[in-house]
Amino acid sequence: MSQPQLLTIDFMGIGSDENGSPQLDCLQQLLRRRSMQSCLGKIKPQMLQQVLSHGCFSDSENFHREGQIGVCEGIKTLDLFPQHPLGFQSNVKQDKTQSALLDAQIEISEAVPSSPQLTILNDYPRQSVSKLEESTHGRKQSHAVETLNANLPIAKRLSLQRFLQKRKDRIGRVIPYGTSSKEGR
Amino acid sequence: MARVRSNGLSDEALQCVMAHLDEPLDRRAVSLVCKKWYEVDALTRKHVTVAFCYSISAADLTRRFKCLESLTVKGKPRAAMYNLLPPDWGGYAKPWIEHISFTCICLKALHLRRMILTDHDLGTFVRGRGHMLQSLKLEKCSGFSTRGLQDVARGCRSLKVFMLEESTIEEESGEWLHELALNNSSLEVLNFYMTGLEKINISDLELIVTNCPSLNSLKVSECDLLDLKNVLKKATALEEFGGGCFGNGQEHDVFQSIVFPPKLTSLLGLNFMAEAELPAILPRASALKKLDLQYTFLSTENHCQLVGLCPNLEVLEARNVIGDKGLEAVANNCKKLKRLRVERGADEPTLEDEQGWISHKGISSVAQGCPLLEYIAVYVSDMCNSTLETVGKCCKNLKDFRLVLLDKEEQITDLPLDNGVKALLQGCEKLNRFAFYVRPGGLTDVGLSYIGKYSTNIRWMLLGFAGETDLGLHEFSRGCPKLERLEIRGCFFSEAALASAVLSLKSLKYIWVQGYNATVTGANLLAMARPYWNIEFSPGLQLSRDLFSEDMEGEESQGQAAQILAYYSLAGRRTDHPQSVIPLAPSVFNWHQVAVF
Repeated sequence: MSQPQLLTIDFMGIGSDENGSPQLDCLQQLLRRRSMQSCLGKIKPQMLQQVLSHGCFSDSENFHREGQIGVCEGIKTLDLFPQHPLGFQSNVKQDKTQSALLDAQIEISEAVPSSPQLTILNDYPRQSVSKLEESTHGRKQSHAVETLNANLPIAKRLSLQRFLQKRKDRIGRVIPYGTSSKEGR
Repeated sequence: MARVRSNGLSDEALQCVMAHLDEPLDRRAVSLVCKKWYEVDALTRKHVTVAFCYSISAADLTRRFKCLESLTVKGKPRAAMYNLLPPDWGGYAKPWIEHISFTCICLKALHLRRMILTDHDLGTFVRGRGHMLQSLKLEKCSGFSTRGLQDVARGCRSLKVFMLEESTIEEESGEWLHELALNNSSLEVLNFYMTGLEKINISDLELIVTNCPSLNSLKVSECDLLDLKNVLKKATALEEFGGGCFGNGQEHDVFQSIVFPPKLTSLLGLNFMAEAELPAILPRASALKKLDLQYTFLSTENHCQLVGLCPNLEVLEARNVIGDKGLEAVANNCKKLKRLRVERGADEPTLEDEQGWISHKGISSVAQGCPLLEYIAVYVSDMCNSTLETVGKCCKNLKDFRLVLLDKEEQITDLPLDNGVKALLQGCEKLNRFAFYVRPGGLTDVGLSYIGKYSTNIRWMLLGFAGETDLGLHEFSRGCPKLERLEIRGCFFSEAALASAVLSLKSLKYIWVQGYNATVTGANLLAMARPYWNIEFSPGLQLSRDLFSEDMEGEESQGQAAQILAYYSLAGRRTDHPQSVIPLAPSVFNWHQVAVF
């Protein structure tokens, strides 16, 4: 099996010569942009959304690059958008993401097979999503439903909370050892 | 009939006509007619309310509306009022203040709600607009101190309205009030109600009421009412008074010496007023149009006695201690009532108000007895379908209906409430705000579909534990043609279903959800990614109940459930979010950048 190769889809033109070589003439820049547009136009938005939907985040400072552990050892990061590197928040999603990217590879390679700017996974060994991870996810969902009601008491307005606390303090000062049982309704 | 063409109407004439259009919806409609009308609307628009501060930048707003005289900006989601957001969630006023202070040359009124602003921000605004500022409202804001208020008092001498209600203010001194008393003679409204400010010099208040003969509304923090006797005596133009408190340990008959101003029609707050202090307000009862008893210590019988003497009441707010009996008294005596709010009381068993609950009986009474009702917001302990049907039949003027079914009682008379909700929505055609917060089983998928089908004019909605499955949400989202803002709490819907519903609700501009069938990453929410649509995900602490500390109070854990906030924005993704908030979109798939290619 050939080693997986990582290429880069330079959507933002980061790797383009226009950043390093101001001499690149306008026509060439325009042609480069046109070819990128053409490439973009042939990728189904739903496919990209699917890639993103499998646990990838943008360059938010909040996400964690924990995607090192996975089936494909040759890939450190998935630089689909080098300006906005993707990462993973959980290992659960990585297999799904890489599987989706493989599907994207097929589509993109059919769209623009010879573009030197395309970065995609090649010859990535297909691995099915771990059944263990799926069942863990399912257990988490039912558990979330069970705890939903328990963890969401009806919220009180802050102003009312403050008043009721003051009322409690006042009653405590007047009757420090508790009130008698209330009358029935 | 010959069609009138806009080019047959001069610009001046068009401006004159448009100047009389105040309703935002009317303004929105005329601005869409043609480019000329868009431009004239932009020139003549005097007031704008930005319902969510991240939906547009200050620069974009003022580029379109160059002659704004009044601006309202709302920051944090409503959930912040219920302590469901972290304090550093966002809603910073600084970008707005920095821009409008020196750009909006016509600005005379600013209203900020649920925003964070510093003393420095206040100083900047005063330097830019202080010379002609007439109204400054900082409602439920935080981040500033009395030093910032001093700047306002010194620099805004034409202020007619100064409102700080429910803001969290760091109190250094009472000097700000003294500066206000010395520098201002045009105040009409002064409100520092529920701010907790304690260093209030009563002589400053007396000076204000003396120097400001037009003062018609005064709402103070918890100043002792006995100390305010002279203030109330001198404020002869006062129509509304709020706040103050009845001190602990005072002889009750001393409060009978308090004489409220002759024109007084609104009494609010009156913190800790008990039965013995009622005689202080009884002489004014028959003239009262607005009464807030939420923070009193009155019993059910006291409520009955008081409302029985208020035939002109138009607005009533109380806790559920008012009871069904009190609501019957309201129904019998307050025929002009337009707004009714009944809040919940204490939860602790030893502190519960006597007879402190209201049920379908009380609501039925009020619905039948008060036909002018436009606003009902109630926390009930019991409900049934026939009561909701009665509301639908009798309250034809209702524009805002909010019902919360408390969770203390195990047995409810009549659940689910599907048919009642249907009848209410069908009957109250003017309804544009609707909140229905029940419990699991309180509203089925069928009931949720009714809400979607019959919410023809509703623009804002809050649903709590409504529906059962994703199918219910799907049916709901096929309706609600005018729904612009949706809040959901405690539901069983999946992220995919929520995303699909968002895409189906054609008028939706804003959605907030807490407590749903969340995934760890919120990734499925990206199914609703689209141009100008921001998606923010807060994972919260999705732990099992066992993992919570045993002595963790219910309220502390409320902010721990996952939250979604999604909204249309012309300003792009915000950058001032805390670590607990993860912006999911716009992100990699930046539609704007793709378009620029």
